[in-house]
Amino acid sequence: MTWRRSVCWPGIVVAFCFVPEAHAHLVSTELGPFYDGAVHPLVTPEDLMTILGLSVLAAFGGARAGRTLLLSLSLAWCVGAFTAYSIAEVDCQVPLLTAALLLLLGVTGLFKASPPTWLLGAAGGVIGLIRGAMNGGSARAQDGEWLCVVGIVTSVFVLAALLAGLTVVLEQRRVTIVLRVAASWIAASGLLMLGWELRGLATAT
Amino acid sequence: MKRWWPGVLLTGFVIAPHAAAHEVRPAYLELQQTRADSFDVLWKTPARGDLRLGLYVRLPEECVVLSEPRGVFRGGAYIERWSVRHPQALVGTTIYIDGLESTLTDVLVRIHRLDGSTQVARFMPERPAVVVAGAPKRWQAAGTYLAVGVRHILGGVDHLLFVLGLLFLVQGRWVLVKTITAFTIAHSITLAIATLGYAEAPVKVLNVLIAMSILFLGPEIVRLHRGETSLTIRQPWVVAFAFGLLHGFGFAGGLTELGLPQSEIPLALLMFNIGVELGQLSFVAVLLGLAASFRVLEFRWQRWVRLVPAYVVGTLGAFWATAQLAAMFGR
Repeated sequence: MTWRRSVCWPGIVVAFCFVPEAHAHLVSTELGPFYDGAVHPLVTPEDLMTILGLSVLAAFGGARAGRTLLLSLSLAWCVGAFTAYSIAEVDCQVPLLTAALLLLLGVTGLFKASPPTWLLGAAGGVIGLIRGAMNGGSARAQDGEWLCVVGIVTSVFVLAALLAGLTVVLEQRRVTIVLRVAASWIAASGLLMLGWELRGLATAT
Repeated sequence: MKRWWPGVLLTGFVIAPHAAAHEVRPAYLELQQTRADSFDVLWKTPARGDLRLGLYVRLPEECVVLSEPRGVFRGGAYIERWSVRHPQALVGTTIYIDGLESTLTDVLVRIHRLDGSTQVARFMPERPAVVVAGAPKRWQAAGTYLAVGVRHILGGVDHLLFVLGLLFLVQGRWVLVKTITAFTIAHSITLAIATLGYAEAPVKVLNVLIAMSILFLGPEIVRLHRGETSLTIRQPWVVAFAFGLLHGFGFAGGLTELGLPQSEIPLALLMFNIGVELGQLSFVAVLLGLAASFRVLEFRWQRWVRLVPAYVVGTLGAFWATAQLAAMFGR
């Protein structure tokens, strides 16, 4: 367990400092900008799998870790999104790093590594800040309204709360296999994305 | 007990002028085919007094105007009628609504053909264009009304806030089922009555009463937190039923404003109501899921945090009630 904490977790935090935004297109729900924003994290695999991956890791730390993750991730996402929406247009994609990070997150969950709560909170804060900033920046770049950003932030909070609650319940009921399967899917998705991106790079060169 | 009232009322009076409660004012376009290549056009846009919403129908360029538009203000709407001719009977062409992008409203379009078929579609601010189909299916019309119902409830902050307030009053699963069912039955009754034309409620009075139904729930939630009791706390389903009747008249606005023909009303009513229920149940499901998650994550809320929902519901109810009262008395 010690080597996992010393290697994997700082790795996750550092790696997520470079988390990119991939395919940040706003979806039209035909229900107005709030709902357009609210659906965005649900249809963006990178956002969805990141929140799920972090929730799985939080589950191994129990209710306290779940609470910490929910608060740090949501608050940071909110700050990042509104700050970026106010000041910058960011609409970049770095899919290679996203794929690598999902792989790392998935593998860590697969091995049931339990990070210290403070580290999980810090990781949630950094990831939330960056992904929120990317969401907010792309919303601005696509002329989204501020209600769209409210929708994104609300959706992230609801999603994180539901997933954190669900994963903690599963862990409490000793249904850990479900969490590890979820983590393996995240790792597999990351691996597929990584292979795809590397193949693209190789073809280009 | 009364300490919170001045704050709520003051907030209400301060922000009332900026308040905009849920108001569904869709526009309606009807194209009635009169000959193989001709249509009578009915265009109904929301209006207040002699001011109409700036929405304009743009038919395909090949259309020849047979009779110039004649407009009249009637019943809170501006109604225009004219006739056009198109060589392909509009099939495959695109109709646009100019000015829709800068509004929050919808436009429902119904195209009646000589063969008895009808195309129903919806223009939205995000998509202010509709392609005229050749032979539309009935399920397409049903889907459109379903979407209108979902959009009506999810876009109606006042209705959702009332449901939210009810959930904070409910204690126990059985009471929850009774309360949600009572609200659903009640608003379905008045929605049907109003849509079928058996009764109608004055819109301005109705808006005030709906806002007051939300305001009513704020103090009741505070009472519950203080360990006090009342009929609302003991039997929330009674209140849900009573106010549900009011909200049903409000829902009916989403359909009656369209001025649908009698033949279309049963399908529209059914699908619209199903859409409203789907939206409402989704909202309730998310809230219940959140409540369950907070329990699992062992959140220990401070007393003031637990009172926040009561004050949010009460304050918004107060300023909507104030705004609607001001509107009712012509301010």
